[in-house]
Amino acid sequence: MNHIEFMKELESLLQGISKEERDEALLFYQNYFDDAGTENEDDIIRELESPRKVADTILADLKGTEYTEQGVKGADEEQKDTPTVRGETVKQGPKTSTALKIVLVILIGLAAITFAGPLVLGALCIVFGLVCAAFGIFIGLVVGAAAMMIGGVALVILGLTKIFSVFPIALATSGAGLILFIVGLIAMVGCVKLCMIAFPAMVRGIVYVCRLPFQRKAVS
Amino acid sequence: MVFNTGAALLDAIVLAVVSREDDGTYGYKITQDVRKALEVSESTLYPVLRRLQKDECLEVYDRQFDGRNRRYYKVTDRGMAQLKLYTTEWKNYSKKINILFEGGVTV
Repeated sequence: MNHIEFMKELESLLQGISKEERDEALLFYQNYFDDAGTENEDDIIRELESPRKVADTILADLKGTEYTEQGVKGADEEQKDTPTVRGETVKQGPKTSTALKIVLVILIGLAAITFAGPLVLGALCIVFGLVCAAFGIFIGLVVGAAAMMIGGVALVILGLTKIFSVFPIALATSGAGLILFIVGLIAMVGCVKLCMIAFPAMVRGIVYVCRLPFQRKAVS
Repeated sequence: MVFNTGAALLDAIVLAVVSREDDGTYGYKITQDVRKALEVSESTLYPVLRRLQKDECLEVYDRQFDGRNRRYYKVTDRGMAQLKLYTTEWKNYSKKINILFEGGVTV
């Protein structure tokens, strides 16, 4: 392989990159062969190993800097284009759209309210219902526990009224009443604690959800 | 060579080699000069030169030589600043390594 063949092959291997990069690389290696002189040509080609290896080195380096290269190119284009293209868009903006935009936004808003209003209202009602249900479940648990305690107390009192007539039954009844009262007390404590955890969490959750739309607006 | 030369060191070496010539120097000569000090394959230097050129550490110009165009590389002001930074960094680095190698004897 002589240096002309080498250069031809290198050129075909560099088809994938931009013309600027290819020309630069080819110029460098053309220069390289010219400066080395024909007497060193074989050594150089042996040193370079193959057009494939040279191409791979170039491609690998371009890949590594491809991002920055594009960045640089992008920046250049932007700089060139800013005075013309951007100016035009800026001019076009206020002329055509401001008034039209406001009218459109109002129209879209009205349409949205008429069509989406009932849907939104329905969704809000469902959410409200679910929240109430959640609160209700916890309140129900507390009330249930309270009812157990009251029932226990009532049983104890009932038992005590029979203490002089039917002693064993009175004892059994008031004993059962005490057990019921204790179980109710434990349930009460447990439920109240649960509510203390659950209610603030639920309230926080509701507040968070209510805030979301406003936060989004603030961000955008 | 036992130690491999990283990209930054290669950049520094190429900048140093090019900076020695006030009027700039060309690819083949740069390669030969670098290869006097360092075992690098001939194909590694083009990407280094191209990168330094893109980073505006090197500028290129073509000059007629022997009836053909020869591309010359020259270090820019920015390249000089970069080389200065590399030189300082290298001094610090090699000093520390020397201290380690020579068992705490400050050179």
